[in-house]
Amino acid sequence: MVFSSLIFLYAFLPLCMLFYFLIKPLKGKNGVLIVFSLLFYSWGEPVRVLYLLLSAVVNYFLGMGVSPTRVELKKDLSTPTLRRKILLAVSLVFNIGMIGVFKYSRFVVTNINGIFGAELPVPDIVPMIGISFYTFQVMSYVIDCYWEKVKPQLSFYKLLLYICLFPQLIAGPIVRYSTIAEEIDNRRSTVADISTGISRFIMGLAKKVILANQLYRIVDSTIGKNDISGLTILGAWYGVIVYSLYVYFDFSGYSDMAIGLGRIFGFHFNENFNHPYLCKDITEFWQRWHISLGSFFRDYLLPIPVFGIRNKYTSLFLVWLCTGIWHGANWNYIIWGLYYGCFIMFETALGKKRIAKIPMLIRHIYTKLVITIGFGIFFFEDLGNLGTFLKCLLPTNANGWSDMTVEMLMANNLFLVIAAVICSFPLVDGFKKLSQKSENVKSLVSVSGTVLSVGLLLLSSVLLVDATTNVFLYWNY
Amino acid sequence: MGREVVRKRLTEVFRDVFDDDSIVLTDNTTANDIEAWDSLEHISLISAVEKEFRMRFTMKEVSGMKNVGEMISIVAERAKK
Amino acid sequence: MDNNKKRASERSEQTRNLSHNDNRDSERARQLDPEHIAARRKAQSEQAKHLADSANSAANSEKRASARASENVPRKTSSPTVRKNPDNPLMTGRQGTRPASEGTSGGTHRTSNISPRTINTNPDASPKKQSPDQQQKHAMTQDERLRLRKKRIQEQSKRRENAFRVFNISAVMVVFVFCTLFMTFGKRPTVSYEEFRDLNKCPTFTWDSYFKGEFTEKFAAFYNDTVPLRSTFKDMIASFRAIIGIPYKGGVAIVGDPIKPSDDVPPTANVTSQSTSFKNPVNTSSKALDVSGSSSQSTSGTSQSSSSSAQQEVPEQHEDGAEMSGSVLVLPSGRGMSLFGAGKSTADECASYMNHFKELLPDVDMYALIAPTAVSFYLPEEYKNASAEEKPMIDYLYSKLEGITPVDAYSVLSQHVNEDIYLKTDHHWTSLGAFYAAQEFARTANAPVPDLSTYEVETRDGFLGSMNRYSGYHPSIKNHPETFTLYKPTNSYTTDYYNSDMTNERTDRRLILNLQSLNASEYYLVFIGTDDVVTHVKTDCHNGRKLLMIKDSYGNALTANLTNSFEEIWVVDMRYFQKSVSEFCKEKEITDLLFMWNTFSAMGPNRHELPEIY
Repeated sequence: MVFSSLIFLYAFLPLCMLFYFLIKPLKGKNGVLIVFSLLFYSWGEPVRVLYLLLSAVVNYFLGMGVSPTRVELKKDLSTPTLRRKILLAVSLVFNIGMIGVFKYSRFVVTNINGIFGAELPVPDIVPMIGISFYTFQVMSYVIDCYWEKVKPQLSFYKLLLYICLFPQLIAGPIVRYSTIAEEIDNRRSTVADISTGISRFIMGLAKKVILANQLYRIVDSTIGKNDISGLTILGAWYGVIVYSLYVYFDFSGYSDMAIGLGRIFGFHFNENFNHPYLCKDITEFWQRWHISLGSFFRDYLLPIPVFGIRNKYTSLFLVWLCTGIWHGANWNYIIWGLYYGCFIMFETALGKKRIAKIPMLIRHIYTKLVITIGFGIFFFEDLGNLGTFLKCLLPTNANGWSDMTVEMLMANNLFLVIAAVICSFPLVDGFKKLSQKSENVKSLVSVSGTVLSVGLLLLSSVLLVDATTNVFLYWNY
Repeated sequence: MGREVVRKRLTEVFRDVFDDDSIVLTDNTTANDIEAWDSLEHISLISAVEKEFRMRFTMKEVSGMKNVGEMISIVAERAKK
Repeated sequence: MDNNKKRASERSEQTRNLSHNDNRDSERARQLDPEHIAARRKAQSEQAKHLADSANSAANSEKRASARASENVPRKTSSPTVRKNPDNPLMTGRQGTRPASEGTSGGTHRTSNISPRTINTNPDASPKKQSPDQQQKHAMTQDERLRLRKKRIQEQSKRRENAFRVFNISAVMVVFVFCTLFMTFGKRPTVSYEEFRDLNKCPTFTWDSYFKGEFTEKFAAFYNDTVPLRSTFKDMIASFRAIIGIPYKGGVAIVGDPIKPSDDVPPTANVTSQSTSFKNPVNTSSKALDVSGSSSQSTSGTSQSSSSSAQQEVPEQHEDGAEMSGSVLVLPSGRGMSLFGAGKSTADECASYMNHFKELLPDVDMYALIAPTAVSFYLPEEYKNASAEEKPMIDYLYSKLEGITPVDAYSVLSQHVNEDIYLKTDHHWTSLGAFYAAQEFARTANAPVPDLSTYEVETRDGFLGSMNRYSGYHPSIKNHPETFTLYKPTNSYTTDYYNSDMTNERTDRRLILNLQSLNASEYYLVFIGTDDVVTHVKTDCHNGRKLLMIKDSYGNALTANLTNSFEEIWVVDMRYFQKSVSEFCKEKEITDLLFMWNTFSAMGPNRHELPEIY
């Protein structure tokens, strides 16, 4: 089930909210969330939901196992006991193993066959929905227990709630246990929560349905065609730029919906996107894009000494290799990760002081170019097509500057693309600033906001009638 | 190793890593107090401290130390000259 | 105990207030470190604890109020931590750092930490106005009054904010509930006329289908497909798509993935002039989201509605998409046409297929009528490169026939280009265009040639055919419905129908249905009504000739124009016929056999598989 679908909006969500707000005790509310989250997940994975539960059970015990016992705490040991270390290793093997098997086995075996000429049977395994997200979440929990940053959750149901909470289960943000640990036990949905949550959810829905889905039709007719050998220069650039906008609105829209839903139920997730296209260098881009993933790698990968070496560059290499790998079981994603890794290393070497001296315009052009071409790499899973595409970008493209298809697309989608570009800017923050001028302005902004929410909800719902297939980009993660 | 000795040597390391001779370390200094100190530089810093004092931080410590004071304590305990 | 309770409630309230402020959303973005935030929250509560401890009860309540109120004090939206990389490992973990760094840059946007303190210190400030006791008292009350007023304004503002929030929630919930009820209880349609298909049905639940994931998938497809008032919403979506941009050259559009032309085109064709931008195969990319109405999608429409409609008066949906996939050119004048592309190999296949029938039935006179489509006559010069040419391909295919007489429909039709011979909003020819082709066939076959003046004319406005859906309900088409002109033969004949396997004989039906009773998208179905049927016409032309027409949907219109030329006409559709043609011909004593296809069905790359119905 996807958030941006009529069945979620008008069948699942009303029922869930009805039960959640009818039942008064917090324990009951948590129960409602667990039931509906499992329902939500099993809708798409009726059998493999068991793996989710298995992961919850195993990590429940491991979380307790890697944490110091009361006796050990009293002893105040400087290093963890052997038992804890072993159980940590077990948890890493189990969790990474799960993702590895379900997501990467096909890729690995195919490549082994290709490189070594072996004829191993290629496993036909499709990853479970959301496995990359919830596995990372649960890993962060166990590691945090080991580092004693959090106390292990002794109630299985509360841990299960953390793992399977449907707002963030399928496509993030990757929520750390510490972020909502307290809220599991102690939260209230205030008026502010519900109001902000609703507005946030609708904003995300609009981003996904009104912007992202419509933008994708352009992508489909340019770089998304089966045969791109006829792509013109303008076609290639226009297509990949629109694609970059599409990815942002698709993913950040989904995160908005997740955060909004969480908020309605009284949870406060951290932001996952912060207007990434405002960035002035690539390092900044990745502090604004998919923040929960970046911070996960920063906190758990960066401190690892690579072959015993603690070095900025080796750490960066490791992080960016993993970022690429996480995004897909395909070579283009790995290239994509390392591509960004190179730019980050380059900027790190240059140093902040020198970067700050470069004129703003150059920095903006640089970032947008890097990001756009980056998304081109991200888009083409077939490396042959990727090569063709990259060549199409150059002035030496034999197909010429443009053709009727591109010009027609650009004309027919002119306002849509302009609106998308405008919406990349922090409009909400701008309006909040505006409302601080006076009470009247504040009221006007509030009322307009409500009117806008209602309008966007209706428009999105209507547009959803069209989507008989409505795949979300990060579906296979 | 005494804390003050550690502090002195540590200050040199900090000044070197962050390229800033004006750095002064108190027990309560945190990353907030030093402009260039971000998660990447943190790795360089940890590496430099480990090299200077010929010791190793645990993973937990690398991401869990709360201020320079704590770092000094750990170094003081574990440094080998 | 009371104090503890107060402290506890204060702590939770403080935490809650701090957590639930709207500004938090934007500020959170700047605090990227989740441990940081956890630490901060813990620190806040500790903070509140400290404050509660250090003040007397009056100051306590005041602080609480002012703490709450201070939430509405505008936060600095750009704090130093924005520029600073907030990945701050040394801010993780314990709250010990908090009090220390309180005054430093790290904590500046937590003005609420400071303001209670500031207010707390006010009583310290007032002693400055020492002088006489009275003045002091007066000064204090003045200060106090100011404070109270500020507090009241802030409380008012807070109440207002809450009122707007309630309004926001209510407004959205009203709409949300309405939509939920609408989706749950609204009447769900079962068929879509504009899309020419039956809508998805509700699947039956079986454990097996559930565990395979099929049930939920089909149920979701059903739920999303059969939205009440579906066509209204589809209309709105089409309008939306029209306003998100400006029309290109007044409303020209090319919709859908063009057919990839083969490299092996016959030398007479000028296909090399084809623009390189249209070298694309038919199938839409797998990464595509739904592209509604694109022609290659319409192949998926389900054609069989229940053939139990006994009278055959109600036309059944037919799967016309199979023959005309590819891209569609839309012109502002309201005409849409499919763009052609084919190569020698498909033409060769078609010719040899037809030749094989001739080998099996040497005594039957065979004819081939490969009809051109609108693109041959109405493609504007400037878009010449958008389509391959049909004429060279027709000529080439004809040249490959052995023992089968070709019918030169192309020349005949080109003489009548200025008449209404091809539908504008549909991929078929008009009744008139089919008539001219029929005349040419009759001439070629030495059969009586029909006379147009003997035909009855009927018209109806408002037709929006297949081009409407192939173009995604493009405004150029949608806003220009056309008049459908029907030519009906006046001689007497009877029509019987059979299922495609020759069972279920239905005698004495209508060959031409009631035009006035058809849905706006279905006028072309007035001929026979469906493709999945065998038609048998017995006429008053007693010349002993019995024609078997193996056709695609173009042939439907042709049938009515041959009632003066053959004693019996059998019409079967190549896509559905289930019997052996050679046996059928022998059984029914067929004298003439006509292959009647348009260019796309005959040799388009997306044509139906040539069935082995020998």
